Amino acid sequence: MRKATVVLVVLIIAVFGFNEKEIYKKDIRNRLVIQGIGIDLEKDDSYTVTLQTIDTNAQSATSAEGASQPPIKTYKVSGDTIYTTIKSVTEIEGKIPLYSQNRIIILGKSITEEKMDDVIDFFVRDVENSASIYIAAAENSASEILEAKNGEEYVSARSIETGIKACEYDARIFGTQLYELISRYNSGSKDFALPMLSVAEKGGKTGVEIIGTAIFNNTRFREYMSKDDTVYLNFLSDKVYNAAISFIGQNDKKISLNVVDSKTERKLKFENGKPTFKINVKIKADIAEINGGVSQTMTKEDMEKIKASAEQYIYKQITETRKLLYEQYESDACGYVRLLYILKPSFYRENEKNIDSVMRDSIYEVDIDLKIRRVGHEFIEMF
Amino acid sequence: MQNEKLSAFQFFTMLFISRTLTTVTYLSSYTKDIRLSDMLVQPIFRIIIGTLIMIPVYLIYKKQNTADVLSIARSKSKIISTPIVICYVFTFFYFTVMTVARLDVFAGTVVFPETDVKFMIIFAVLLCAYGAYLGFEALGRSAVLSAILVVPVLVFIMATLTKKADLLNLTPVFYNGVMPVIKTAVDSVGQTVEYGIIAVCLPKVSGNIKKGFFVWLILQTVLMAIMFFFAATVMGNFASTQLFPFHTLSSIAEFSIFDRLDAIITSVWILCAFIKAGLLIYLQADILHRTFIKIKKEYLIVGTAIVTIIANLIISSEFSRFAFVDNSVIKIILTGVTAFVIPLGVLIFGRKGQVKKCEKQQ
Amino acid sequence: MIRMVIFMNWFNKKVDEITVKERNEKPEKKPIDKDLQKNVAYIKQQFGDAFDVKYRKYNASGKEIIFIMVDGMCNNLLATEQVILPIIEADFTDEKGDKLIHSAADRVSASIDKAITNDLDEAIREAIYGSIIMLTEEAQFAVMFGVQGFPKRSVDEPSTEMQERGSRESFVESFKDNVTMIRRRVRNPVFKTQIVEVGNTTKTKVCVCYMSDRVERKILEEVIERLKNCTIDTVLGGGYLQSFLDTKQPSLFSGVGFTERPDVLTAKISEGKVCIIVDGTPNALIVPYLFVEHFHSLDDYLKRPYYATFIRVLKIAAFLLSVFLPGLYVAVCTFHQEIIPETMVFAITGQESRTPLPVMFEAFFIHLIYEIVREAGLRMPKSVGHAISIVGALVIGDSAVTAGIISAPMLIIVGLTAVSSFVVSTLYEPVAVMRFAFIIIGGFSGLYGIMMGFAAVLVNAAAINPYGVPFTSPLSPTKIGAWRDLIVREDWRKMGKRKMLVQKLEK
Repeated sequence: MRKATVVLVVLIIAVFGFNEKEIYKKDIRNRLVIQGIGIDLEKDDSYTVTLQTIDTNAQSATSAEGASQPPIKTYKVSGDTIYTTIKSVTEIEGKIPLYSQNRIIILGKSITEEKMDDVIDFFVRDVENSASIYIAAAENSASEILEAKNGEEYVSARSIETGIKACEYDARIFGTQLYELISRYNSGSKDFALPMLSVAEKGGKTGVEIIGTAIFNNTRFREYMSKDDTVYLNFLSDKVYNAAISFIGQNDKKISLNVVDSKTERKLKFENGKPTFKINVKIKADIAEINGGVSQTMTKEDMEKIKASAEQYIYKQITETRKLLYEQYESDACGYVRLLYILKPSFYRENEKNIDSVMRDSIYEVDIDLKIRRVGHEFIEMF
Repeated sequence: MQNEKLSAFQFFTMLFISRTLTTVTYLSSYTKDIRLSDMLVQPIFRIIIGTLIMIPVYLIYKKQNTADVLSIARSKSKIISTPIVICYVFTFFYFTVMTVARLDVFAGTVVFPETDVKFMIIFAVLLCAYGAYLGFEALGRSAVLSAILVVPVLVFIMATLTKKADLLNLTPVFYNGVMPVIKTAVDSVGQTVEYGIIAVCLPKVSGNIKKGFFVWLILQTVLMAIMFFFAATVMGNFASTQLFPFHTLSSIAEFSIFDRLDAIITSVWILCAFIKAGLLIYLQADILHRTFIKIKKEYLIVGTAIVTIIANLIISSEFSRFAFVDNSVIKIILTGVTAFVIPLGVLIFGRKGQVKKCEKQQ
Repeated sequence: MIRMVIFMNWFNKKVDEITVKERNEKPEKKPIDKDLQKNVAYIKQQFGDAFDVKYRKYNASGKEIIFIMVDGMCNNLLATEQVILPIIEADFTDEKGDKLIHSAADRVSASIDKAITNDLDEAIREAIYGSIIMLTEEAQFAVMFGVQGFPKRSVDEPSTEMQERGSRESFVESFKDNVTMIRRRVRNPVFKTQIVEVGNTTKTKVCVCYMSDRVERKILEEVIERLKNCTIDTVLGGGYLQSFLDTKQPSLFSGVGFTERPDVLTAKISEGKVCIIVDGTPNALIVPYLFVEHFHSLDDYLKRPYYATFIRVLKIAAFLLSVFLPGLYVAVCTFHQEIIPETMVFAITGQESRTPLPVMFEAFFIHLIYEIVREAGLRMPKSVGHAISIVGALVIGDSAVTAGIISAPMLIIVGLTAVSSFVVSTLYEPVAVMRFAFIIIGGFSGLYGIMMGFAAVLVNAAAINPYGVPFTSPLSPTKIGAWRDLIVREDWRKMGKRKMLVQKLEK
């Protein structure tokens, strides 16, 4: 019993002596819950950081959808480094920033064009930051995205993240999380893609719009792709699980396909010393809509025609996207350089310095294999 | 505290938990000249090296299953046995200190970055000493209970990561040749103090030891390979920027509304560290007790704990000290000596002694 | 002054030694004297002026006979009809002394429960326990007729171990009635009992029950040995003996179980365990008792296997919730906010920022208040028990949240914890203490401390091994054969084929 008492006393001393001050400092009530961080580079080389935080002092508001949404407060601060700039919010609010609940990091145009390397480091180094946080590029400044108001309320970082996830699900943007970005950063090509955001005004109301995918070459922003084009970037990257494709079919009818599954097989072989990428895209899709198709009986021939024109259309789009990437933007956002690096390391090592020209001159054999699963119409005679 | 025996299942489960800690607390600094994908191939070399270095221990056990390396050495020569005992005690002490130090570095850099963690060291070592005080059997039993929690947790985390795995994140195998891979395998074996533990604990184990050893060796290697596979395919080069890649890996894992599962891996880590440090402290006290010091084991455990605390307080005050002490060369030497060199010596000299005895008898 | 202190220490030590010696010494026999008056004088000296001890003198066939009894302890009608009347009417002309005693016991009395002794102290003890003692002149023996008739509670429904489908009987205070209840369930002579007397002053009867065909002899012998050697003055319940039967290692858990149900006790002895019924208490002790048994109940075996399994999983979850939930909540809110799902963080932050206390103190005090209310509800007369509940619910629940003293999420945590802790009621004591410990640890060292504490509890539980059957068996040491009744309960058609014996759980 005496021994147990001694152990207990020692434990209590150890526990109590440990970090008594920490209890108050790190308690949830003393934390400023950050939802979104936007970073812009000023002309004097300083950073402007816009923080979107949850306003715990305010009563919860009700959003238009009827769901309870936390009230939002934004802070705009400037400083020499990201860390000190964000820290300075503590002086305003009296609370310690909590990064772990941050949903998104938005990088202004000034950053994506020049200083990407400098700002990302903080988010990798700080342990509270989540490695799976989304990174997005702003068409102009990051602060205008986080300060955009839809009527009286701010457009929340959470809703932006939800929008990115929804677009990513439909393969209309190329979503990149922090750990993926850093992985690309540390790889040979340093090419990647980020969702691109813009402030849009429609009907007198402002809102945040996801306009497409920003393409980066060697950590610098090159150009952005529209959401429709991004679908084919995703096909090239084997990242499509669900997508919507519209094309003009026979008799100038507009046809929409709902892609329900897709698998891109990428193989590498060498022909005449040149890398040849065999890209076989297998798609399963349903016919979602045919303009003027109501009450028409579909024959097997009609189906074959739709299939052929769809395959042709997808082939064309993929080829164009591939050309855009490797010939115009010189960016390996879809990862074919990495494929070369893994499968033929000796070749990669030899051509590492002029890899952009190698990729430009490589042969890409694209093969589309579309299977139409459901026609979605009761007037059917083909089976 | 009694002289207890464990079943082979309990003993090797305890070693599995102990080795899992080393895997989970893998430091990315070890991958200086090796690509993460090479770590997927490295286990094959590990199994071979691990099996080879255990041959002398197995032969000793086969010859005399009631005596361990230390008692055989002592029966041959008390002068030789003293440095051998010191060697084992120092090895176990070093690995205890390193176990706590890693926990401390982890706590100080990841869990409580702005906190002075010296009280945490005291807290942890005292609790581990309490585990050691309760004995070999209690530790063995709690290791099995821990395994019931640890294994499903690791499987669950890996399962949640399957969707995030991207084979394009892999790097070419043997990109820098075969030697770095073999070197890493040797490093990995060097970090496995459990080989040394086997050398001194086999007489305390009942049941099918050979089967237990191979199941342990294969399972921990498979676990390591799976974890490295996910680290490589999910994080790619990001892993090398993280001090504790498996902790970061678990923070990327998500399930339902839970955006990160790193707290779970933290729990696994602490549970495994408790078992490992407890076992090592127990072994130090046990070896000292039965070799030369006829002091109660309880006092020896307290003494060992105090020395461990002091050593850790010195190391933890600066990261550079930790980096200096956490040296793979030291580990390889210590593990090699305790798991292979000493048992081999004991085997050879033990046999010579026997031959001489036989000659005398004739 | 120093000398005085030294002397006092020496004196106290000596006194302690003597006291311990006296306690450890077994009472010597007091032989019955041939002189009847001397015996009566001795008994009177022992009892003093006790008003309830009756001495009745009769003359049977010219021989003086004295009956001694404790009023209220024996059934007067039974004593008169079966003992006194037949003896005083019997013909003892040719018998006297010891022969008369034996004749009265064997030939004359109609009482079933009777015994002959030559120890006067034993006779006194039996008289206290409701026997009627017969002494006569020139006899060195006395007869003790068991005609107990003291007031006792009739067999009632169990109050703490409710079962949906099990029997409605629970143990009572009389150990004989309790043994009868088991005997009725085991109609087989393998059911054995052994009486041990414990308590230097109270001389409490303790009945060790077991099944001779399956009990582990080693365990049985050790139990009896421990009971015989226990140095205790008074035994007023099973709890007095628990520490003597339990492991010596300090632990929150115990290797000794309790039950108030005869059917549960029967099940336990049929597994080869040893049960101890203590006279005067409606709870029996079971040794060895395993950790997993806390999650088993008789209903598990009376319901369909899948449902029993489901209930066991629920119980384990409830146990874990009741121990760890408040501590985890405190740890997460204090150190690991990143774990909180994004959808919950606003609710928690919003609520917690409006309360005055840090989360740890808030959790500590609210649980303390809950324990006070619970304890009050337990000790209060039933009629005011409801009032306590209302006050508790209103004070803790509504007013404290409205006043902004505690947060609503914390209240939910308390509610969940409180309800969960009653699911496995046999573990309430360790659960309540551990919960507070984890609140403090979680508040000071977060998840790190909680996991360290958990590991310490784990190894502590794993070290419990009082009779060679580890407390954590069959989980560790792993006995796969026993896993058919661990969490998943197998169907009786499979489980009934093999005996589930305690020997199989040894290390």
